Amino acid sequence: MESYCNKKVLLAVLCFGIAQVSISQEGKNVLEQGQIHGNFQIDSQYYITDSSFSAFQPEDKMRFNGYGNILYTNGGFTAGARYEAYLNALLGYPQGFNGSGIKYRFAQYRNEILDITVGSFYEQFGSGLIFRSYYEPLFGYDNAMDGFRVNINPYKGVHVKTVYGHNRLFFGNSQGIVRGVDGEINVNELFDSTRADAKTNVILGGSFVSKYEDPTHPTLILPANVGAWSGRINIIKGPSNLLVEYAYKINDPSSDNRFVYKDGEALFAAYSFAQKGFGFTTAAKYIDNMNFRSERNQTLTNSLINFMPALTRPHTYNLAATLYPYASQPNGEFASQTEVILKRKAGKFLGGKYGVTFTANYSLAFGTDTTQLNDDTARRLGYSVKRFMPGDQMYFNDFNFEIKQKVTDKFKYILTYIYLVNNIEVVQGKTGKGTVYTHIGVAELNYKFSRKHNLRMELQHMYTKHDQGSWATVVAEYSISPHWYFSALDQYNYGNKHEEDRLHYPYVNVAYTLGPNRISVGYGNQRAGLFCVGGICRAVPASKGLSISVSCTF
Amino acid sequence: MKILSFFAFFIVLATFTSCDRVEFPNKETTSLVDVSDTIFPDTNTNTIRHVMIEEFTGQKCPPCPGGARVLRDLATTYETAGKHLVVVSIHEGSQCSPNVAPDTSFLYEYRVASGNYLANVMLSPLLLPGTPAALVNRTIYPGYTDPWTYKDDWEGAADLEFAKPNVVNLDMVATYDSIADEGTIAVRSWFVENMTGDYYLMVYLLQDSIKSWQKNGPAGVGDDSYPLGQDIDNYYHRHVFRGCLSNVPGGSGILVSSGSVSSGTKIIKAFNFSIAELKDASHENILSEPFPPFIAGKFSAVAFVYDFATNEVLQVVEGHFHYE
Repeated sequence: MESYCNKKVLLAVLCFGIAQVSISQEGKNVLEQGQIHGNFQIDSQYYITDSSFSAFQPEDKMRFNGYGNILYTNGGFTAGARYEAYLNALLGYPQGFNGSGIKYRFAQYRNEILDITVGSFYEQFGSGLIFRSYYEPLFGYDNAMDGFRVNINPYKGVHVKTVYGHNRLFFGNSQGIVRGVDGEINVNELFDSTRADAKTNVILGGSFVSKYEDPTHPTLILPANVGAWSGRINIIKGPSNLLVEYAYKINDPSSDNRFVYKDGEALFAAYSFAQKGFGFTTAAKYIDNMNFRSERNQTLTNSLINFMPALTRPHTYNLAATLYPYASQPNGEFASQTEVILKRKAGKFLGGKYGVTFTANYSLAFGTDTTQLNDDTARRLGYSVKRFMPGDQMYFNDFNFEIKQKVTDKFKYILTYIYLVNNIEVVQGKTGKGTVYTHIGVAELNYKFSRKHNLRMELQHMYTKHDQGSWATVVAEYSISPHWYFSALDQYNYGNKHEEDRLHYPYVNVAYTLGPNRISVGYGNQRAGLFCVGGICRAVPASKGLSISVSCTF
Repeated sequence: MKILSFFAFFIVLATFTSCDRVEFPNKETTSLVDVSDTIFPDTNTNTIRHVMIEEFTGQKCPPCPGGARVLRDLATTYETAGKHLVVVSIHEGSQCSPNVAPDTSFLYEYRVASGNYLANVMLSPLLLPGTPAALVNRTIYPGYTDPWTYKDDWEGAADLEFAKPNVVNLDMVATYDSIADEGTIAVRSWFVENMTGDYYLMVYLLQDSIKSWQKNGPAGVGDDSYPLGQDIDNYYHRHVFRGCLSNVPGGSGILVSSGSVSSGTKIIKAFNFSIAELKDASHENILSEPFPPFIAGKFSAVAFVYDFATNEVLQVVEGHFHYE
C-alpha cells in the first residue's frame, strides 16, 4: 500500500517513552521485517453562541479531539499504541475524557496454540451479554481492558479465552478487577473425522466473568466478588443460522439498580435465513437487571463490562436516527426484531431494468412485568419479575419499509417509510413527556451526471403531534471524484407548538480527499439530539460553529 | 500442552470460585447490648415447642370476630393441656381503615408498617388472601399450597406444630421504665439440637384487650358472645400487634446463628428500646394515634426464632414487661 505518511516519524513516535537501547545488526534486520500501520484523526470545533436554540460557546471557545493509532507487526509479534488528546473534549463527548496521553498500548505474541497480550486489549465473549470490551471513538466509548489476555487453542476446534485486568475509565482505570474465561467448541472441527462432511455445523460456548471490587459500605454488606456466567449454542445448516445465548449474574447491587440484590439474567436468540434474493432474520431478547460494571457507582456508559445487543434497526437518516432512537434498557427489557429482504431480479415483476430490493423491518421493546417488594430493610431483592415475559409498558415500536432501486445507469433511489413509537419518558428519561408517535418518510435520490460527478439528495419528513412536533429535512451532497465533496443540510422544526422554536438548523460541509487523507470543514447549527451506537446512546447538546476534521490512514 | 491445560483448568477454577452470594445485605442496625447470663434460668424452660398463630384481622371485617373466638378458645384449650399457643392479631387488609371525625366510631388505626410487610411482602407473591386468615408457625398445612390458612384448619395446623420436637429453648426478660421511657429486651436462645441454617430472632410488641369498635358477623360467622350482625362499641381486641421491637418493617430481625450450631449452644441477644423513639420512627407506624397509654399488664413482648430459609417459626415465647 502506498503510504502518505512518513514512516520514520511514526516509528519514532512508537518508540516514544521507551528507554534507548543498543540494537545489534541482527536485531535491526529483524526489525526491518516488520510493518507499521496506523491512522490519525483530528476533530475540532469553534463554538458560537446562539441562544435561539440553546447553543452556547464554552469558556475555552474551541474544543479538540484527536488520536493516532500506530501498529507494529513482525511475524507473530504485534505492538501498538494510541495517543489521544481531548483539549478539551468536544461538547457532547464524555467530559471525563480530558487531557492527553497514551492510555492504550499493548504487546501481543501469537502462534497456532497460544495468543498472549499484555497491556490494553479488546475482547468479547459470545454476544457480549457478560463481557465485551470495545472502542467507538465517535461515540466516546472505550472500556478497553488493561491487563493480560491469554487465548489458547489446546485442540483443534477448542478455543479458550482468558482475560484479567481493569476496565479503562477515561485516562485511568475502573476500580474493579475483571477476570473472565470463555470456552468455545466447534463440534465439527473437534470430530472432523466423522463430522467433516456434516451439513450441520454446531458451535458450543460458555463463559464466566467475575469482578472484584472493594465492598466497603457504611450500611450494606456488598459482595466483593460478583460472578456472571453464560452458555450459548450456534447451529448453522445451509442458509439457516440459529444462535441462542443465556446469561446469569448473581447479586450485583449498584447505582444502576438502586442497590438491590436480585440476580440478573438475559436470554438472546437470533435466527437468520438467507438465500439468493431472499433474506429473513428474527431475534428476541429478555433482559433483567443485567447492567454489569466494574465500578458499582458509575453511570452512563462508564466502566461497563458487558453489552446488551440492540434489537432495532440502526437508522441512518438523521431524523429517525437522532431524535427518537432506542437505547437498550439493561435493567429490564423484552425486545424483538424481524426483518425480511426480498430482491427482485432485473426483468422480473417489479424488477425493472436493474432489479429492486424490498426490506421490511419490525422491532418492538417492552418493559418487564415486575412487582415491587419494598424489602429494602430485608433481602433487598427489590422486585419480583415474571421471567421471559413482557410487561404492559411499551418502550419502543418501529415498523419500517424500504424500496431500493436503480432505475437507469444514472439514477437510483431509496424510498423509506418509518412508523416509530418511542416512550421517551422511559428511554430518554424525559419525565412527563410520555410516548411519541411518529410517521417518517424519506426519499433518497442519487443522480450520476458523469463518471466523476454525482448528486445525492435526501428528502425527509417526520410527522408527529408529540414532543417537539413535526420536522422536515433536506440533504444535498455533491461529489466530484475522487477529491471533492460538498454537502448542505437543513432541518426545520416547522411543527413545534412554540412558534419561537420553529427553527431551521442549516449546516454546510466541504471535504477534500487525497488517497487515505481527508480534510473537511463544516459550519452551521447542530440541534440537540441523541447519538446511538449499538443500542447505547448519549445526549449531544445543541451547538453552532466551525468544524474541522483531518484524518489519515497508512 | 499439559502446562496449557493446567493453566486453563486453573483459570476456570479460580474464576468460578470468585463469586460472593449475600443473603442478608443490611448491616445490623439494632444496637445490641450485653447482659449477663445470670438473669436467665439455669434449666431448659421450654420442654415442648410452643406455637405462634399470626392472625390477620380487621375492625370492619364482620367474620373476624368469629376467627378471634376460635383462637381464644384454642388458646384456652391448649393451656389446659399444658401447651402454649401464642396469638398475634395483625390488623391488615381492606377492612381496617378507621373513620375520621366527626364520626365517633372506628377511630383507632391498628395497622402498622410491619403488619403490612408481613401481609404483602414477606411471602410474596403469596399475598394475604383476605381476613380472617392466619399463619401457623408460617408453615404449610397439608392440603394448602401456601402458609395462609383459614379458621377451620387452625387447630389441625397447630396440632401438627405442637407435635414437632422443640429445637431451641427461648427465655426472655423484658423490662420497661415508664418514666424514663427506657426498655430492654433480652432473649436467650439455647439450642437443644445440632442444627445448620440461618436463624433470626424477632420481637413483637402486643397490646391486649383494647376496648373499641368492631363489626360482628351474623350467626355462624361472627362471635356469639357479642351481639351478632352489629357494630359493637365495647369489643375487646385481643393481643393486637403494635409493631416490631427488634427491627424496622421488612427487616430480617437479629441474626442469632448462621451456619452450624451445636446442641447446648446458648446465645443471648439484648437491645434497648424507647416507645417515643419507636413512635417517632417515620418508617414504623408502631404506635399510631390515638394510642392508649402504656398500661401495665396490657402490653407484652413476643419473641420468636425462625429459620430464614423457610420462614418457619421454631420457638416462640411471650412475656409481660417488668415495670421499674
